Amino acid sequence: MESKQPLLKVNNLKTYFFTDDGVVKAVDGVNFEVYPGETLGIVGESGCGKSVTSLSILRLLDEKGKIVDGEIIFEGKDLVKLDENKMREIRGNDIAMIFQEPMVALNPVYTVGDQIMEAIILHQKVHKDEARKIAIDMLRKVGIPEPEKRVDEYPHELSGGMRQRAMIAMALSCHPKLLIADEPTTALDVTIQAQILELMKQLQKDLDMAIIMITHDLGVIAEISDRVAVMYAGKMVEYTDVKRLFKNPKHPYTWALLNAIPRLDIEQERLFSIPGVVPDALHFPSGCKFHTRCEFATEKCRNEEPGLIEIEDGHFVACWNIEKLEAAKDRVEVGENK
Amino acid sequence: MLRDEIKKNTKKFFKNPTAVLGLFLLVFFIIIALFAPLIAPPKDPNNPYRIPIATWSLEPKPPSPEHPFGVIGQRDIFYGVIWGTRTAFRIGLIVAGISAIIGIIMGSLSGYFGGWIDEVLMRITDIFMSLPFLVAAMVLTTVLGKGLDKVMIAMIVFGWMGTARLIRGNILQVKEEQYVLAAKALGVRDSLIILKHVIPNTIFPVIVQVSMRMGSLVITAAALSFLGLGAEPGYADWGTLLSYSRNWLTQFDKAWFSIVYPGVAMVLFVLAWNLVGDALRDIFDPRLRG
Amino acid sequence: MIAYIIRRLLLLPLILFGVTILIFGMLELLGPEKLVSAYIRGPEAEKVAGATQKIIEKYGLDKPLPVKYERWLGNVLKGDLGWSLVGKQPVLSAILSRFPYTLELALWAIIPVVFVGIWLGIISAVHHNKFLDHFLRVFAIIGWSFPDFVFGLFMILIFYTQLGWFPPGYLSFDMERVVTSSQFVNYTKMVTIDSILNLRFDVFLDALRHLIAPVITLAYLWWAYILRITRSSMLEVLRKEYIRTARAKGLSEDVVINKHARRNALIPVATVSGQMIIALLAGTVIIESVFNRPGLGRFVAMAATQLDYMSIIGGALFYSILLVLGNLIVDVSYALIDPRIRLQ
Ligand SMILES: Nc1ncnc2c1ncn2[C@@H]1O[C@H](COP(=O)(O)OP(=O)(O)OP(=O)(O)O)[C@@H](O)[C@H]1O
Ligand SMILES: [Mg+2]
Repeated sequence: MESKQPLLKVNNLKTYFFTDDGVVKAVDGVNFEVYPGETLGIVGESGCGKSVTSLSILRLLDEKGKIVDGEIIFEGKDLVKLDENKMREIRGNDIAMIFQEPMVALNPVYTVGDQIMEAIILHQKVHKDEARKIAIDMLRKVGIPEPEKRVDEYPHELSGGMRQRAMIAMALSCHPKLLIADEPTTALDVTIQAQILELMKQLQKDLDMAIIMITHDLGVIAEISDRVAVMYAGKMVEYTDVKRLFKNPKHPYTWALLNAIPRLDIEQERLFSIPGVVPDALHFPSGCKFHTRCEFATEKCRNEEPGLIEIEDGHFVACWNIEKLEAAKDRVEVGENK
Repeated sequence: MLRDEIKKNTKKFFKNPTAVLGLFLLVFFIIIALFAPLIAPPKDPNNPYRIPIATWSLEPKPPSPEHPFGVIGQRDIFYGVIWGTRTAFRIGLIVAGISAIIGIIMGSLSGYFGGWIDEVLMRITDIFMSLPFLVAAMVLTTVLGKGLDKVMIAMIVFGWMGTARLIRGNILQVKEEQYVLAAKALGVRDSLIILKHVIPNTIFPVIVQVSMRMGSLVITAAALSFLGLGAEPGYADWGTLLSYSRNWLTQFDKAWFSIVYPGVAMVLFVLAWNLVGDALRDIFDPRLRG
Repeated sequence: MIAYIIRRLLLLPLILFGVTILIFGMLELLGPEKLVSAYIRGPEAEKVAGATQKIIEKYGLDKPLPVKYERWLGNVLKGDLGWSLVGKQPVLSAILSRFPYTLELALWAIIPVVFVGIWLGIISAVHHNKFLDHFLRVFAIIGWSFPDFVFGLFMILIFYTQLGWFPPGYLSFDMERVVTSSQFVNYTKMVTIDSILNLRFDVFLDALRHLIAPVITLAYLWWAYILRITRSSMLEVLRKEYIRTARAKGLSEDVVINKHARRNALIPVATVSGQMIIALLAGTVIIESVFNRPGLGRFVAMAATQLDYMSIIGGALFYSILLVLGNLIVDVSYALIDPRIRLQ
């Protein structure tokens, strides 16, 4: 896998929002690669900048959001510098995206078929009837029963799971090389979640595409990813393959996340129960942004920000106190390892 | 908490240049209304709203040092504009205030009790809304026998429905919310629940609505006076002043000042309320902000 | 959807019934004396001796309220709205003969309001917080603050007194003669349409010249209103996730705005359009008086100043029926635009 050229390479991406209250450094230096056909998971608590990262790749930020630094190399082109027309040829065609809330991500006044056909007509330059056939095929492929009928229905006539399937059909209708899935299953209930993940794995194999799976659910990561990037407060804190991440986490935040995996035997209100709160993006702490919640924090952590360092082949961590964590691991047993 | 909120909103208000302009205009009009007796001393202090007769000629007279806004229908326009400010405030505040109170009562009954009371009250609201406001106010004014007081009564009778619907909607929403359910479970009396939870939640939207309505109410009253249904001739009222110009429709060059001065006063007055109302709405109802 | 329409249709008679009670109530406020004299003013009174008694009998004026109401309603349903002093004819025919003029004026005003208002609103939203947006916002709020009759007076002052372009009135003297001549066929009684059907383009242009100022006056306030509603609704829609989905598909900004956003944004605009059409019709009461144009509006205003009770009551009834039916049509078509309601 490593020998291949990456399909997407994100270098030191910084995306800020210039709001009335100040500059929100939503993404503040993020690096990762995605190789053809693989799945990269991006995980982190709510508000850490996962969605902003994905929107930056497609340049779909709202007017206040600006990519202030970094590059996003997709098939040799830097998307940050690409002009809007070229960018539009990539959106929906080479890179497609599905969103968190299937309930609101489809336009309520057009039929599902209409919305799928739109992309097909645009990118594949086919006639309407042809596009309709492709749309129906696609709906069948994502497991929607009676696609000939469903194609003419409006989004609100479909259930949440069906809508997410329709979203997937829409995203995949032009056979993208990369699919960015921003928490595609968060809004769905558990059984449907599993079905959708299964479907995505299946389609990934069939269509040979790469996936960026954004989630705050480590269960989903374990299910689907090849490699994982852990984000905290706009930064990447750990980046490695899925096995190593679960077996041998090196960053205290990752470790805490793993300990906080929801357990089916205990009812939990929140997914994460790491003590403390995610820092406000307007007022990030100095030094390592995690130091306010980190049990190993030292003076150095408060003052100096650690860089992402490759501690062993293909395992990157941004932390000053890797040894301390190792020592602690010996004392405490890590829960729920996979 | 509440203090901070008020502080924050005040800051927000003053950061909005149009809101500041509106407030400035409003203060300007309040000062004029308060100091009317000094700015334009009445000839007959017992009857200050009668514009004194300035000349016996029926021809309009253009502005002069003696009559800075000119003379129309034998009346001094300046005097009429100054005292007309008081009339405008009186009409707006009385009509908007009383119809808001009626609306609050109707809406509260409807929203709180629900069921058939709600159904009946809402149908009554529908029925009152089935007449265009201007036509309704005009007909009722005429039937009651013309005059400014009749105009105000008519506008109140047909002016409470918006508030009633607003209040009802808000109450239904608040009712859904947990804490009222909780309070009910504890056995707090109904009226207490209304007072404690619903009123604070609905009072700001009402204030916004009242300030947004002030301008249009003054316009409607002036329009009725303009048609000759409101204040009697010679009364210090902007609409009445404007109505004199109707006689000079084809010779406006002789009477332009009778349109421009009261007209500009009215536009600025309405603008002031609309700007302030708009800013308040931005603050209290972020959903409508744009 | 069908259930919704049925519910609306079932409520319709109830509302109309309520409206008649309300209007009858206003009539009753006159008190017996004025009421009798209002009824008596008709030609029946002049011709026959002892007519007062007959009229009291006919309308049940000496009977208790429910009987009076029943008689009154019976007459109203038969189309007998009394005698119009101002029109010197039965109220109903006075209203019907004047309505086309008013309708013509209102229809002309609706076109610029809807198209220009929506267009400006979308521009404003797309340029959110840029210069054009601020400019249009100020424009809208000033428009919203300008009393229509004051605006009309200013229009006359500028465009007639100063520039001599758009005279008040309905038609110039010569053209009025053409229109009343026997060669000119009045198909619709709306002169801009009839003149074209009669191939009299000089009449058409003259009518247009008289229409421009009142149409702008009538429309100005509502441009501003529609602009604001379109703008805020468009801004709200542009923040919706499905707009992002549409962009993520690679659609051009043009398609995103004009297809995906506009249709959703226009749903709330459609509801106010109904109120607006009614308000435009009611607004003619003032505008026709300012510009001295014949029509239902000026008729009702004149009736009010001359205490012609039967005419204003008839006018109120007519306007309220328009409003109720108008709202019904709007609600139903609203349901038709929005598939979420359509299929419920
Ligand atoms: N349009 C915006 N304007 C200003 N700030 C924004 C905007 N969008 C996101 N942010 C800020 O950027 C930060 C990252 O947000 P983002 O949506 O990427 O989080 P996330 O990791 O996707 O969280 P979630 O799991 O809740 O989706 C947050 O602090 C958020 O407040
Ligand atoms: Mg997100």
